[in-house]
Amino acid sequence: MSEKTESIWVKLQKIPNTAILAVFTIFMILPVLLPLNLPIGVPVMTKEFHDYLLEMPEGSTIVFMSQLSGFNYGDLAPLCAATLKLVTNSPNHLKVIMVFQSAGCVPFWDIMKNTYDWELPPDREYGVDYVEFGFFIGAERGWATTCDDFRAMFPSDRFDTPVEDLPIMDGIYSASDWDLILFPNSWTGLMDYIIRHAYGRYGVKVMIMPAGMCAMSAAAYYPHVSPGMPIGAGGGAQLEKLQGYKSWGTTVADSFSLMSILTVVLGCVAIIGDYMERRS
Amino acid sequence: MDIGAIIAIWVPVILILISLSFMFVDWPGWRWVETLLVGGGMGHSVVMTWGTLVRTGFKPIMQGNVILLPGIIFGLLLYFRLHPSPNYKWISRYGFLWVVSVGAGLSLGSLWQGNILVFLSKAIDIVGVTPMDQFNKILMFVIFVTCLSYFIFTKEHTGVLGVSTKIGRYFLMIAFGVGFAVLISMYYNVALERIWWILDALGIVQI
Repeated sequence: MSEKTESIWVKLQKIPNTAILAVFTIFMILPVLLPLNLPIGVPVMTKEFHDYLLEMPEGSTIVFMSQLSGFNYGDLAPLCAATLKLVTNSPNHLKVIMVFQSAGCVPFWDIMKNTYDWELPPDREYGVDYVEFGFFIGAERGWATTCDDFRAMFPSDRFDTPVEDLPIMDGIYSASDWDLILFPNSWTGLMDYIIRHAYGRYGVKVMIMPAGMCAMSAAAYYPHVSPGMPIGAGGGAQLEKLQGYKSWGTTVADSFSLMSILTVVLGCVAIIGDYMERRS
Repeated sequence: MDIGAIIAIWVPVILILISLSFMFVDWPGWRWVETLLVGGGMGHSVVMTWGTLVRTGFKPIMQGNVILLPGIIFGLLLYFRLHPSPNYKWISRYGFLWVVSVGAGLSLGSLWQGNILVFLSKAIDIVGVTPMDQFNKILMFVIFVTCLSYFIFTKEHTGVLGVSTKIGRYFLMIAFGVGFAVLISMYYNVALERIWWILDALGIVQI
């Protein structure tokens, strides 16, 4: 008596999870090794973000309130790099004041330059066009103080230069002197109080650049608080496309698209397999 | 390449590979790396916080800005929680009193203008400019009302309220599903960035 042979669908369902994860990992890495340049669509929210920054008046002051840290670096860094490239290359000479939310946040310019091989335009000078202040302590209290009296929270920059010696800080004392806050973030609780104080009390627009679960909550602030909103590394890829260059964001988008295709294919196979097995 | 550079490349590479091994198996090496990360992160935070305290607190006080002194004193009082004798633990409450009261004052003061008013005015604004805008605004209003109705617990969810809460529940499920998907994409990108870093550090790829 011959044994009943297993159908292909049953065999497929017996593939170990480890093998599937290994295939996923290979698909994940493939675009890093071999650029695929898959098409990237630019949603309205990213386009609005891009246009808003380009149309900011000459010499506008932007506070870059970063929550870029180790646990969201892979998602937010491509977006931050593309945004800073846009801001620093703006013909309107936008000023960038950088502060961090916590001690764990990544010191920005060095990382960007080292990791992304990205240089600032030669005519941009530290202390004149951009400045880095390190992180503020005290969570909501700290941020409220930063909004009310910036110099009380930051009497000197990250390299201990007194704030009075930084030309970029001339006439900047509180949030009422800021034109925009750029806010890469993946923590909903933080977003709440940053917006409450900056937008609620001073009316400063807060351009949220969300990642993770935060993206869901951030959508509630679009477009009245945040007139534009690129999301995660995908947003970085879209900004790269709008600026006409390709970097890490595009690679991530390639990898993510490839993984999405694989996930859909595997999902279809699983559904068909389940159906065929039930039928037999 | 000197030994320092070799260590600077290989130690992170090995630690990252051990971290990624959690995808396949939970083993002591992974737990050791996890502990190392938490401990290292805590140490980094303490050092950075101390530096900031010196910059924004101690230095200005030494320069005569004594108005900051009460803040430092009340902050130090918090540590009485750690006092071995229970007779002194109550002193820490004076520190917490400041933390809680200032926090509550700041939150309540900015809540109305920053959150409630903004959200409410946008949620009930149902007049659009274009037909698509009009459709979106009405849809947003429906989502707002149905989701809000889901959180009415003082009346049984039957009849009109039952229908509304059911629709609201579907909208909430969609929202949480989207949130979860974006979260997964974040983890994906974080893992990919680390793999890329390894490939870059080993000279296999260059961006």
